[in-house]
Amino acid sequence: MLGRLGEVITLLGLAAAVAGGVTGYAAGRTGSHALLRATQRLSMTFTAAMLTIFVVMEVALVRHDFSVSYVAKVGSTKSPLYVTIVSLWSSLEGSIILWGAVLGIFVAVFTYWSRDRHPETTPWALGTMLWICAFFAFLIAGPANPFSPTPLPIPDEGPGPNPLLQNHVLMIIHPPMLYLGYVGMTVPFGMAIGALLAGQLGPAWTQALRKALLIPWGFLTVGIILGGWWAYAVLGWGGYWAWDPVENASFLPWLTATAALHAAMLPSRRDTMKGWTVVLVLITFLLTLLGTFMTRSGVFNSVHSFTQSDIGPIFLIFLAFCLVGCVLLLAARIDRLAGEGDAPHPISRETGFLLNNLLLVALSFTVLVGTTYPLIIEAVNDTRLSVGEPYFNRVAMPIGITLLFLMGVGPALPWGEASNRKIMQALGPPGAASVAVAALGWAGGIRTPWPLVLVATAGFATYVTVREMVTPVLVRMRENKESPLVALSHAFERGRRRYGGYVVHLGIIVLIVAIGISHAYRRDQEFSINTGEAATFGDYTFRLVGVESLNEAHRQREVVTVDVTGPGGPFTLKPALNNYSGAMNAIGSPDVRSLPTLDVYVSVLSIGTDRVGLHVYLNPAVGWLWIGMGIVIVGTVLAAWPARRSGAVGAPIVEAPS
Amino acid sequence: MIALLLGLAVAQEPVVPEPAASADAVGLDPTPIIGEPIDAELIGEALEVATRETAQKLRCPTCQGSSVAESPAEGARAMKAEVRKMRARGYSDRQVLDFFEAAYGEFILLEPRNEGANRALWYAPVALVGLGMAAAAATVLGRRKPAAAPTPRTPGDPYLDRVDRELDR
Amino acid sequence: MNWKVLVAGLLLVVPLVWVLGSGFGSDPSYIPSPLIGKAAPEFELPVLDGGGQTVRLSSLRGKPVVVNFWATWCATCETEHPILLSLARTYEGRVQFLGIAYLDTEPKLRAWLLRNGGSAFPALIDVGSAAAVAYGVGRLPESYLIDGGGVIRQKYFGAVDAGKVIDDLEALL
Repeated sequence: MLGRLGEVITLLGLAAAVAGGVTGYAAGRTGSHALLRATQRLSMTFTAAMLTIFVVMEVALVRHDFSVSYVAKVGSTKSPLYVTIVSLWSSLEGSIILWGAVLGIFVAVFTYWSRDRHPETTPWALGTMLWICAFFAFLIAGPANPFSPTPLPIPDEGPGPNPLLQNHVLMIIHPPMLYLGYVGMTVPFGMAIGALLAGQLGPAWTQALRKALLIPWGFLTVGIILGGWWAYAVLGWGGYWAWDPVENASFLPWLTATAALHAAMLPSRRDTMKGWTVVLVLITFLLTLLGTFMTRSGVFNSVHSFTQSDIGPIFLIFLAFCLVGCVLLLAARIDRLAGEGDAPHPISRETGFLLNNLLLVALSFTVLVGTTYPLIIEAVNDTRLSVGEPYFNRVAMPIGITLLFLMGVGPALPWGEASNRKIMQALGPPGAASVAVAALGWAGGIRTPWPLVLVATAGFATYVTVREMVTPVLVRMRENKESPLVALSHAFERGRRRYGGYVVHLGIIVLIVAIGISHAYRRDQEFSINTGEAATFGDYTFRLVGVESLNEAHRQREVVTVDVTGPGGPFTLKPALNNYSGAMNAIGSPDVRSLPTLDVYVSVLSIGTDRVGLHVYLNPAVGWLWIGMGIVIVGTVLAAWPARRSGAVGAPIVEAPS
Repeated sequence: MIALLLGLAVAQEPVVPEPAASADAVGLDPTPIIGEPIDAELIGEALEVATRETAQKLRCPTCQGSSVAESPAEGARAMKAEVRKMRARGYSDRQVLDFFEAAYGEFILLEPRNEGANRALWYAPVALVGLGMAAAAATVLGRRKPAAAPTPRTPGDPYLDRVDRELDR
Repeated sequence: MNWKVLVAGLLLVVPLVWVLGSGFGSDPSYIPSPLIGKAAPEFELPVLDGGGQTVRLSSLRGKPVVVNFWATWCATCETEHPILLSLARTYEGRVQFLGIAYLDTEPKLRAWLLRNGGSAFPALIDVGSAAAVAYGVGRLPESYLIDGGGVIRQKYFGAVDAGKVIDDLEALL
């Protein structure tokens, strides 16, 4: 019953999306206002349909309606309610419903925002988005239909979702965040295609494009870091990032979106980067499609992938169509966008942006090549090989540090041309600061070259970022005789987006340093100890208190109690092994104590009759990753928060790209 | 060097995980495949560091993606124990990797050998950065009109003027 | 039409799609063994309940050997076991079958064999997993066919296919 309802509403959504795609393009061609209105209504219909099937599937899950095939696949009456609710995105077919619902929300927001703006470009953009919606509605309706009836006889119990996914609360929020990032890229893509089809890209459209890019970028950032956090807290190998194909798949669009965000700051000032910005936006969306393909096709094998799905070929056809379509459209229209403008001065902020883009694109290209290289080799001469962490670290580290350096140099340099004296003035103090930070690092025990270079560069970038935030306040205080608070609020009001951007920069600096330090100085040790025995590693002593077995409805836990003494202690950690019904091997769940400088991380390797095998990691600076994520969120919200609408639509809005 | 390592090991006195010591008697001799050990024998902390160094470069065959050093999977732990045993006997990092490659194929190495077609993996990013730099240089330097005046900016942008004024100070 | 963009774009896009598409036919977890055609790594392992007796691979020269890596925690091994039993009985005296238990304990092995119809060939215990590593064992079960000269001829992934094994054995005998 619910299954049938879901299928009908999906078809309704599909019909609305297809019709909207047609009317949208027709409205773009004819300029007909009536057609645009119809497109907007159809877009809202699609959204309503997607939200409805989301609710229908949730109801089916909660009511354990095993006549719906997806419920029979992932449901279990033994699962707690929250597991049942989130199991909607624990497997391929259900996750596409979440995808559809998120897509619906984004498209609805765009439809609402664009309702009376840019009548030449909007229909093309909306039409494009609806064609993408049509594809996803088609997937739900056909190849990945989660509502199809379960073959008879209908079971009265199901296996429950993948145990790995039941193991941690982060699994509830990490996939939706990532989807918000992935799916959200549909909007800037639609807007970029719209600009190409309409043959124009004005400053207001560019600015809107930037915001449309910034919001999913923020979600993507959070989704990626939460994914790392999840891996760290659940998988028990003491790390958060393994350069696994699926992780790379989420990193690729993040890199190009970051590049696009920076590139999009230039056209508002000079027209030279218009075409390039559009190219980056298109690539970002195509990479999200590629990432989805990687996760779902079964071509790549990974911890995160949904195995054995047959939507791979259909997805590849769609991907190929989008890729070729974008190339053709770019070739046909890019010259119309290319603006006139002078080349930037070699030492200027513009050049900083240029290099930033170059490095981000080089890094994403490298990650793409590294990720697909095993496939290439297999296709060419049937050899299997792996490209993993050592390769990616080797390539990513120098590029990452250079980007960090640019994060300092770029904002320090003035726009346009500057005298050498000015450049020296801009770069001198941060240079001194970086030397000071390196000396501090040396004193603090950082003695290896790369981490020293890293903290020195981070010191440079931090100095510049903070200076850029403080200087306007100081100038206001001096020139306008304002009190510090008033000056701050005025400066902030005038350049909120600029401030948001700098806060994001600070967050990224924290992230890069935390990644570098935790990678360079992590240590681990395996013990096998008896109850009552203790083992020492680093400054810490680990005493095994005991093992207890707990029976929960959907799993059996063996919880190991370990008393830890050492700096920041004493404290107790309770890592465990979880046995899920229906799973062959026990799944470990590590326990972590986050101290300001260091994480003490213990996972259980084995529980024998008398001895317990433990793997202990001392991971410095990992806790700062989550702090960095928090800073990035704050910055993104500052930058993306809707401004009060001022002046006429389309009027140039005073902004300070930064 | 050996003395140093031994000294280090004694000073640290770490808890060494129980080695599969009994296996040595009946275990496999890797010498026919990779020759005699070329490094010093290791124990203690130095052995742990060496084990990690090598195990990090080996892929866990059942987990797809993570390394033998990190994976908690039982198979990976067995492989790590084998790595530890070999490094203890003095086989070098390269020798141990060769041994695993002989058994599992190049697939087991997380970083492919930098030879043959694989060189493209390293040269491609370098080439791309080089090309990009060249293109950027061409844009920045080549297209510059001689004696161009300081790039004009859209007039009437008070905030930007202000920012520049601030920077001038 | 900007031909430079068109050509550069297609040069990037077409190979990418081709590579992604080429991945469909193959199973990413299937890794061909580099050991085929090479001398089988030598091992000497204790026999389960053999009273301290060991089996040395090189002492079996002269007739083909089928080495099966298995474990009690491997579900596929249970479906594979009857196939191996019947093969071992069919080729008794002509082909030596060996089981090597990987990452397992003796009590569990005994109980498993009792449950699954006993054994028709020696069950060796891979102490310290050295043999499994030398043979490049990944996902159980995996089996190797070694000819009379001690050279590995075949590797079977997952449960052995009786017909395939019989064909390969007949070709050797």
